[in-house]
Parts: sequence; C-alpha cells; structure tokens
Amino acid sequence: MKGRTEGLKIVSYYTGSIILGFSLLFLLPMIVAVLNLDINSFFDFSITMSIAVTFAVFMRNYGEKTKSKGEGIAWRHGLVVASLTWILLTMISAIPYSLSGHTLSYLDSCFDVMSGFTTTGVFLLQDLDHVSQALNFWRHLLTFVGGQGMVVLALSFFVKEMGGAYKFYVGEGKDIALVPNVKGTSQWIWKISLTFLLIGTVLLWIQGMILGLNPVSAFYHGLYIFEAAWSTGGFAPNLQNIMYYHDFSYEIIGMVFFIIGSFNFGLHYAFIQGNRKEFFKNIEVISFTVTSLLLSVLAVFALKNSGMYSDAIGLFRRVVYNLLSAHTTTGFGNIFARQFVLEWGGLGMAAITISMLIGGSACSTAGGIKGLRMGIVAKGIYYDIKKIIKGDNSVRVFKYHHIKDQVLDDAAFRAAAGIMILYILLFAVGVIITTLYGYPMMDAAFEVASVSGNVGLSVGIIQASMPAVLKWLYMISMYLGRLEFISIFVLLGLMVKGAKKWFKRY
Amino acid sequence: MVQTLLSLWLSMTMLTVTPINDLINKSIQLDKSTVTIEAEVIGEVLERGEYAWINVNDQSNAIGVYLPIEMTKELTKFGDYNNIGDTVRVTGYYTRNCVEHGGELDIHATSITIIKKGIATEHALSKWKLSIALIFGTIAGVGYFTELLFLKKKKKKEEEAE
Amino acid sequence: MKQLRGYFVEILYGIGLVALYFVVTWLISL
Repeated sequence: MKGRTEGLKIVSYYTGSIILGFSLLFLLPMIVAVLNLDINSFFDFSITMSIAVTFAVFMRNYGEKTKSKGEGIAWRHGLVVASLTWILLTMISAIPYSLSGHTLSYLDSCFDVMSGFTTTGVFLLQDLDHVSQALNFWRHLLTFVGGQGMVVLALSFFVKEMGGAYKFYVGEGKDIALVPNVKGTSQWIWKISLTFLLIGTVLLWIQGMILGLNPVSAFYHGLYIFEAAWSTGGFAPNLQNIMYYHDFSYEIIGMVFFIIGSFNFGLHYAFIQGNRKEFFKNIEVISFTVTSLLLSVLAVFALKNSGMYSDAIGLFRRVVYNLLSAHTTTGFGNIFARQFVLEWGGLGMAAITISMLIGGSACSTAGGIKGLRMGIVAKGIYYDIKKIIKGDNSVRVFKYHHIKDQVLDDAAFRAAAGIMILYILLFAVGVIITTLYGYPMMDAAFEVASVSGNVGLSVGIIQASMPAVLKWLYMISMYLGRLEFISIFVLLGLMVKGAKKWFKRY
Repeated sequence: MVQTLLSLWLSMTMLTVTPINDLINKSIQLDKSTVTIEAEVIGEVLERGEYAWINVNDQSNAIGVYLPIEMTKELTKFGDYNNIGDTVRVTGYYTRNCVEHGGELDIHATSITIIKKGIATEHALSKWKLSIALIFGTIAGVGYFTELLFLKKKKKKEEEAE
Repeated sequence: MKQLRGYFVEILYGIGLVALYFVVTWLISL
C-alpha cells in the first residue's frame, strides 16, 4: 500500500525542489567573496551550497514518483512543505555563520538566520563590525529573500503551474492573488521587490556618498540598508545600526522604504496599475496611519514631557522614527537598546510595545497581528453594535475595502480574531517564561513583542549569553509569528500523528 | 559620600576611562560631562566639511564621535574584516541627547590620541576547510549530475513508450 | 514606462506620509 508514505514523498519532493532552487543564492555571497579576495568566505559558502544541493537531490529523489501529482497535493502537504522548508533552510543557511567563527554556537547561528528569514532583525552574531563582506551580504540577502518568501521565490520559477501551488503559498502566510494564478502572483511580488531594490539602492548609494562613505562602501551599505528596510528586517552592517551613519536624510530614505515595504503587495500592484486611490481606501493603510499616529503622539508627548527631547527634529528622529520602525516591524534603531528602558518611561514603552504587537500589513514583509485583522475585528464589533441598535429586521451585508470591496462576514471575522488570539497567547506565554528567568516585566514585554511581531528592536535581553531556553523560545516565536501559526501547527500535528502510528507498529 | 566625591574628582581630571556601555547605562548620571573612552576606530571617517564623524567600538559597545576634521588626519587603519583599526583615547563632551545632532547620544571630542596603531588581520585558509570544500563539492556535483542524467533517461523512456 | 511611474508615485506618497508625521510632531513640539 503506497498510501502510507505517499504524503511523505510529496513533501520530500517539493521541499527538496525549493531547497535546490534556493541553493543557487549561495553563489551570490561567493561572488562577493571573490570580489573582496576573501577565500575563506568563498569556501564557507561553497561548502554550504554543496550540503544544500546534496540534501535537495536526495529529497527530490525520494519523492520522485509523486512529481506529476499536481492534483494530489492536499492542504496538509502544502502547509507542511512551507513550514518544513523554513526549518531546513534555516539549518542550512546557518552553516556559513558557524564557519565564520562569529557565533558562539550553532544554535546562535540558527537563531540569526531565523531572525533574518522572518525579517525580525535581532542577532547573536559577535563582533559585527569585523565581519566579512560576504557574510554581511548573506545576512541582508537572507532578510530580503525571507521577506518575500522562499516558497514565493520557488513558485515564481516552477515551470508548470501545479495544482498544489496555492497551498504552498498560503502555508508561508500569504493569501493575496495579484493575478489569478500563483506563479504569476509570485513573479509579480519579485518584480515589484527587485524594481524597488534598484531604485532604493541607487538612492541610498548616492546619499551614502553624500554622508561620507566611499563609493564602494556606499554601494554595499545602500544595498544592505534597502534590503533591510524593504523587508522590514532591520539588520544593518554595523553594531550601531542606523546610528552608524549620523545622517537625517539617510534615515528618511530608509524610513520611506520601510513604511512602503510594510504595506501589502496588493497595494504596490495597484499603484503600478495606475490606481492611486487604493492608498486612501485601503483598510490597512488607514488602520496603520490611525494607530501609528495615535501611538506616535503618545510617545512624543511622553518624551517631550520628560525633557529628553525638546525640538521637533529630535522628537521626530529619536521618537517617531523608532516608533514607526517598531510599528512597521522593521527594527532599525537610532538609539541604543537600553535607552528604551532607561529613558522612554512607562507611557513611551507601552506605546512602542503596542505598536510592535499591532504590526504591519497582511501579505507584506511585516509581522505582528497586522492591520487588516485589527481593522476587521474593529469593524466587526462596530457593525455588531450597529445591528443591535438598528434592530434585527434589515439584512445588511457589511463590507470593508482591501484592494477590492470584501464582505465582512462571520468567517472573515473568525479568521481574523482567531489569529489575533494566537498572537496574544504567544505574547503572553513568552512574557511569562521570560519573567520566570528573572527579567523585569516591562523589558520582557518589549522583547517578546519584538520577536513575536518580527520587529527586531531590543532592550538588551537578547544576547549570546542569554539562557538557551530563551533562545529557543524566541526563535520559535519568530517562526510562529512569521508563518502565522497554521502551517507550523499542521506540521506538528502530522509529526505527532506519524509518531503515534510508528509507536503502534513497533 | 567620599567615594562619590573621589570618582567625581577623578572623572573631572579625565583620568578614568569609561567603557562605552557605561556611558549608555549611566547616561543620566554622565550626561553633559567630560568623559574619556578608549576604543578602536571602525569603518571609515565620515567627512562633514570642517568636521567629521568617526565610529569607535571598545567591545562593550560602539558610539559616534564628532570632531574637527584635522583630528582625524593621523588615523590610518580602520576596523573591518581585514583590519583591526587604530585604538584611540578620546576625551570629549558627552551628551545623551545632543541638540546639534537631532537628539543623538554622542561625544564631541576635545582631544584624541592614538594609543595603539591598527594592524591587518590574518585570515589564513585552513587545510581542513579546503579539503571539506572540495570533498563536499564533488559529492554535490556528482549527486546533481547523476540526477540530471537519471531524469534525462527517464524522459527518453517515456517518449519511447509513446 | 507607465508602470515605472507607479513606483515613483508610491514613493512620493510614502514621503507624503512621512511629512505628515513630521508636521504632527512639530505641532506637538511647540
């Protein structure tokens, strides 16, 4: 009976195929290594690529026979391929980190890679200011690719349109269809990102030279900062993050891109089609503008009253910038980690922590509960109250606008509220465990909100010396937050089911 | 009480070197005072007309130092993958919310001395890494091409069967 | 080409949004 292993074979084949395609990316840091005459890094990446290719070939081989089964791919296969791919690619992509000697353990390397893929931005890498160009190139590339999605990357290349493609796509936490087929949508996501990459890198390159970087550095920094901004990742090539540059204009350019980058791909597509009105009608843009303005106002008041900053520029650069960085789940910072705790006070900390939990837009590179869900839940409650006030007789259909007018029915509300509850649960569990390790509640709330929302700002809890349990907790939180729970739960569920079957047999 | 007076006197006479991380953790206490740090210059000098920024890292943290451009002329090595930068002792005015620089936590240097010249770092390729790279590369290459051949054979068989 | 214009328009809107935040901040700072 081939049924028993068929699921495993399907998953193996497609996961292996994605890994095979992904392994080509290792060529890029290898080229950077060559350009920098860095033979060590060259081999770090060639070794990793070899390992990736070998695994991929075996996995594809094992699942070979299921290749033509486009229609036989069930939801559980699609979701598991997405969640499993992320785990395997994390373990593989961590190898160059460990080979570089800049991490204290393989766990730390995996932590950094997961942080990159999920576009979080916290890191355990040691001595960032002396890291090789190739490794720095890789970290930022990871966050750019992770932001769009590894599955999305693979889907844009698969030659024929598979029946199961949409299921892989959803498994990675996306659901928007820019065009009616998944391959086309994936290609558009990449086209849009690469075009912005070009524009953004050039702008940052120019400003980089203006602020004092030499042309070559300015180019690399520009590329890295764009990748980190667009993906709302928040990595930067130096320890001081955005403070390294000491430049308001550089911050502004980055900010414009991290705000746009936090918006839904459907919105970008609309702009390209010439539809600008979407910007004003879209529920997520509205939700984001409202919440971020309110929270910014709160934070600005808090820091003005404390006497910390008195002029508009100071308040804008050190308060609003960081709050928006948090709200879009980017994680760029131009103040030191400890300053949040020492200087922002209760109100400021609350404002920024809430921003991180709300997060950015759905189907974007941002994390958090997401504006769409906040909007749907808020509107849903509002309509419920309206129904009661008006009396039950009228059968009205309530709507919200997200790219197109959509019906706000019970299913939509349930899906939004459900995931929202999961995020809140994840947050609560994370805070409890962190405080059990002795960290103050406010610090814990900030740090956990940062990892579960894939933000990347830190108050200092995340360090290489932190307990391994917390490393695992945060790594899993980043992963759950990014893929939005479901595909990972399915993977776990199937693993438990498989394990049970196994025990029964033996 | 005596201890506080003593350390106050010492820092006023600029004899104590403060780790950069202390500047941040004790920002309120040290704000608007003269401090001395010892750190490695990293990256490059960011010239801004008559002044410039240098970024320095003392392994506890990294910070920006704003100084007249003439003070940077002696710096030759800057920290990155290939170099350990010059180690400098910087004395300057520390602000945790410098108005001139949009609220930045920075040091405006009044003096800078190179206390240790930077050197190039060695990154020799180890024999074992080279061997592993070659072995793994071969395995991967063989595996990949075998699959390619296998697939081609399969396609041919399917075409012949039709 | 018309498509390329869409990218720049979006960037412009982004700048507009940032300007909005700055204006609000400036008002509070008074």
